Amino acid sequence: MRRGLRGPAALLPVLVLAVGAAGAQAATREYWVAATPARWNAVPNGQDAIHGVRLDPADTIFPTVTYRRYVRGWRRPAPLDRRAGSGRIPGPLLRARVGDRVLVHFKNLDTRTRARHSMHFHGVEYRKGSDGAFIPGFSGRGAAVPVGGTFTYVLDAGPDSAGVWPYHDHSTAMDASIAGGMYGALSIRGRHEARPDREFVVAFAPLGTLQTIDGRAFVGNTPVFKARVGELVQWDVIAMGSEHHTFHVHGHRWVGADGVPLDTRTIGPAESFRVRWREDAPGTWLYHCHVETHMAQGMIGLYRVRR
Amino acid sequence: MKAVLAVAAGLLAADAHTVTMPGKFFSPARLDVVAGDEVTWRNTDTVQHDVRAVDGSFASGVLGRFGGLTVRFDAPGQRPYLCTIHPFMRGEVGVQAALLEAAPGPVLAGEPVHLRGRTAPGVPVRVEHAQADGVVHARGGVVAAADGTFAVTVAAEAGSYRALTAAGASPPVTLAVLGRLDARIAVHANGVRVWVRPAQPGLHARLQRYARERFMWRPLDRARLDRRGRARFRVPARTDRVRVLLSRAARGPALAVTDTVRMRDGRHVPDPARPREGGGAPGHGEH
Repeated sequence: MRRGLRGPAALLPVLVLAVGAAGAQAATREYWVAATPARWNAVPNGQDAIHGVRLDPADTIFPTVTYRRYVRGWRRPAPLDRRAGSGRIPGPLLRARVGDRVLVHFKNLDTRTRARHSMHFHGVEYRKGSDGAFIPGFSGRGAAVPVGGTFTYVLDAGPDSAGVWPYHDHSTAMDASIAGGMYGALSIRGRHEARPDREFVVAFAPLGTLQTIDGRAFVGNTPVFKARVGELVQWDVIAMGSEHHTFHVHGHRWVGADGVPLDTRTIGPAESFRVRWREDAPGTWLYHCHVETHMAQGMIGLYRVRR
Repeated sequence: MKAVLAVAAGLLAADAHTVTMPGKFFSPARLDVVAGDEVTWRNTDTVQHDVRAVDGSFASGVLGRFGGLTVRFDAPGQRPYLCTIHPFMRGEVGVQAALLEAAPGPVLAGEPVHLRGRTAPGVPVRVEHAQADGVVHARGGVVAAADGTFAVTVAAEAGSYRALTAAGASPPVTLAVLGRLDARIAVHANGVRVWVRPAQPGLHARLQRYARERFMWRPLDRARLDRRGRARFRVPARTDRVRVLLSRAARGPALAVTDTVRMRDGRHVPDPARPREGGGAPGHGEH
């Protein structure tokens, strides 16, 4: 979108392009994402149900700041994408295809800490001004957006952008922001790649004293992902923090880059990968980090497949 | 009753207390105060009296009409006193490390009750509950405000409560606690009926379903008990296990929980693995 176009007339070409995306043409996609205060409950059912251990709400409910998707023009928050497990922690799943331009309009609504925030995207092409990383004396407005301020990041999904990538705060407050859940996933489909029937975001990260998947800990609290036999499912896996994790799904295997079948794969800080399969295993399965201490601190969830 | 309450409220509200002599007696004859409080005696009778501690620690001398004496009590203990002119006139000041009082009126077991009290300013206070058989449990701690007052909310239990400080304990306070509510549930015409004994019209009833994959109870519907202490709920066709919570306030703590009933398409299904009473997660064996 060129600068200078304003009002409803400016939206027209965007809509035309978005409709065109259903075909094979490149599109411009726009997302509105704000940093917003939240009171986060990492363990809504109050327990580690597998071991029958009750948890103290004082350790599992706390104020934080998260990314949240808004509708066009910041009129109201957009509905959360619960089926994918994203929306607050992790932030909204941002989807695009190779060849697309992605405009991410960011607004800092963090009235809780009043810190400056930003968005920094892995895996896509952008000019320096859209890097979102704070360097004193070098970085621009997009690296430290003050409370109430907005900034639009201009990203291009190039030929080497296909896959899943993390995004996160990279402003002066990034340590506290990431520890509090300010990260999310960017999912870029290849030009000739089929759209999956189900897409699940698995974000491994610590939160307080817990080890969480998508900001929540223990079965029933972490997303209960659902699919049916015959569907193409895609798992978008990212990790944040300072530790390594191992992504493991019961009852399933997939083929790694070297052609060897896997049912567990290691992931380190800010790394990301995606796994696809055609679902053929009905049942209620576990998915979890297989680092035993992490699993014991909450990195475990349910995956339910119906016939 | 009213007068007693007014005096009780005075005990907690003020650190100044008055004992009058409206005739040949002290009113009130028995007074509890917090260490550090002052007590004033005033002769409101038409004849002369005096006030003298049995242990001789304070004495007024002869008091004419409207004559008085003020004494400050710093050390906890019992201070009996008398009028030496009329030695049958006797009274006692109980000097306490802390005082505790409960709101009047009977409450249901489990209902939240505010216990208010007073002690020395800024002092840490623990509240404990003693069962009839003498078993004691801690029930919360708090630090007294600058005026010495404090408040603790407890779930009402039969037995007595007292406040403890480093300087000593308050006299025990007994709550008038009604027995636990007996809440019953039955499957009825695509839904459930719920009723309680004794009947408690107006209680809030919350229908919950067990979300198996979430390992928790989720709200489904709510109602108020009618004049006969009953309510009815429709249960959606695909619901599995349901129960009803009864509470005084819409979001208040549960005073009673019904058994869990297992349903399919509006009909009762016998449940081989019956959840524990009080309603945690259903037991194993239903996977």
